[in-house]
Amino acid sequence: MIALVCILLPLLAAAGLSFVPASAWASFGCALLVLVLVCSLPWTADSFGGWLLPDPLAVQIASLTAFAWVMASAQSLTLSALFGRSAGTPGRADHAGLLAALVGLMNLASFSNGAGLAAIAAGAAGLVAVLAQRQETPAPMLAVAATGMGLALFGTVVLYAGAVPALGRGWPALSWSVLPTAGGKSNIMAIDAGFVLLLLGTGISCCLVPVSAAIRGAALPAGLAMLLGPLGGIWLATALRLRGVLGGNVRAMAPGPVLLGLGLAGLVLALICLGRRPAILSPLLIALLAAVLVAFGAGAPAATGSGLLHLTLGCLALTAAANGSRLGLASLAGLPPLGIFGSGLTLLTAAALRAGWVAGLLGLGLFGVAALALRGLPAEPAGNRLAWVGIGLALIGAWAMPSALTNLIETIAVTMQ
Amino acid sequence: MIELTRLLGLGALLLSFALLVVRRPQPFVYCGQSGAVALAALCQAWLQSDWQPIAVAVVLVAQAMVVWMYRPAFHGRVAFPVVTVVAALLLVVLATASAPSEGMGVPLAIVLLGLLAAAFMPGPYGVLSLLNGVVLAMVTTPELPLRPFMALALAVLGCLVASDGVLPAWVRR
Repeated sequence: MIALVCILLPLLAAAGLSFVPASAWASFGCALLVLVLVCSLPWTADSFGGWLLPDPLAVQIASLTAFAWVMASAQSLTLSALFGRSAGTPGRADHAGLLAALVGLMNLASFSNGAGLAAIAAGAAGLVAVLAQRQETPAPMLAVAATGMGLALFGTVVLYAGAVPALGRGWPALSWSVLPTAGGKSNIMAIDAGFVLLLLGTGISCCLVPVSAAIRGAALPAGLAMLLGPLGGIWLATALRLRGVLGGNVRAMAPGPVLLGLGLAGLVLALICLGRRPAILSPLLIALLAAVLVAFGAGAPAATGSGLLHLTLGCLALTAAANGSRLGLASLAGLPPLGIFGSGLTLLTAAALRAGWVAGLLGLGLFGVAALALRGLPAEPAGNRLAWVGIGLALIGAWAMPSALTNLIETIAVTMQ
Repeated sequence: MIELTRLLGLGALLLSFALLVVRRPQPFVYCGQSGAVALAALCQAWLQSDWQPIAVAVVLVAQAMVVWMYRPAFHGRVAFPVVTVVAALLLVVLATASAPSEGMGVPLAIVLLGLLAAAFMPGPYGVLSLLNGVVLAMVTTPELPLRPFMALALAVLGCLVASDGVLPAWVRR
């Protein structure tokens, strides 16, 4: 029931926030409540009739989402205090209602126990992120968002058609908890095609806004930028679940090379954008997601665990970096001693254990990202006080992470093979 | 009825080709394709004794009406027309030869042609045609869960794409 509340509360808040004048405080209260509820999920077990799957991976991504929403709402509060409630202020540009809807859809994508529902929710979340990005949405971005959702849903249909010979018709043939047991009777060609289409489609939906902003060299609203890390995390979680589906069948294609290829391509894109454009936040976010995808492609539990750790610390650093803090951006770029520098090292170690050339390419990519990001760091030391909260949490996460969080990551790394 | 469904699917595929080669009546061709897919959905509803394809057909017709209402302008013609048509033929052969499962060849061909049209043709009709291919795949797959919701999500996106910025501005307001 708690997982359902975590989905419905932001969606109801989204409807309400559009009409409540003091939307910043209401948004902050809802975000705090959702964060508390998500943190209580490991001690409860509810699946709402098999429709929801609040497993450790879903809880991890949902907690990152809720934390980012708390920080985004706090950002809105700060701006409201500075600029008042008049329309057209930077505080209003973050669209509290759209951000709440984005969080609700992201939680739905995280908790849903089915490829179809997850694809719908991820596609809708990508669309909301596009709408929340700026005052006028260019038509090509909407067309690309529609293409992403179309490919993801087509991949869902193909995946279902592939699993039906083994699991029979109906909900189990799309369920994340049942699909890995499909085994030898399934239509392997369809499962493989479904994997590729679903991975590409969800990737387009979840990463469209940062990729578009990186290519155009555009800045992102701070509140939205904080939520884009967990939104990319939803894509990575889908990749992890799909890897489990293929891993359950010895005749299926190896998912590792596809994930490695996509991850390395993402790193190259981040390097190109960092070299050409002054706005460095979006390329750094792309580099973060790409590095985690490379780790997932390496395949071993140690690599998966270090990838999840990298994602977690990256999302913490992102809350500081989105505020324009120099330290936050440096942390997100992987520079020592803060944030994701340590997790980047564990990522390289885990990749080296799997394949030396992967570690070499990943190391080159991460080093290049850090070196190019140094050129684009802002002159002002910190954006505002909120940035220090993110920096502090990234510091704690890097050097004194709570044991509950490390246990959660270890559990995911072992179970999602 | 199965033959009629296949015929309607082939009709939708032919209209995908038409989108690539004709110049002016793009909204008309697109609405014709939506109509063919909606009729195929009704045939499938009768074959599968299921209400969900009917709901999908209703959603699809509503979406086509919105697209017709806005009728986004077609700003030009296909880039490299000969190359595009040859590539389209190759894609159809590829899709039918390597369909991942039975009955998925025609929807896959429509999706691939939609991608091709979206890449080489200005305007939203390539993407809208791609979405029609996805809907055709949904309705021809028996007992696929959540079909009406998937169709509704695609229809909302289709309307946002076709409205040329009018509906996104309304949502943001």
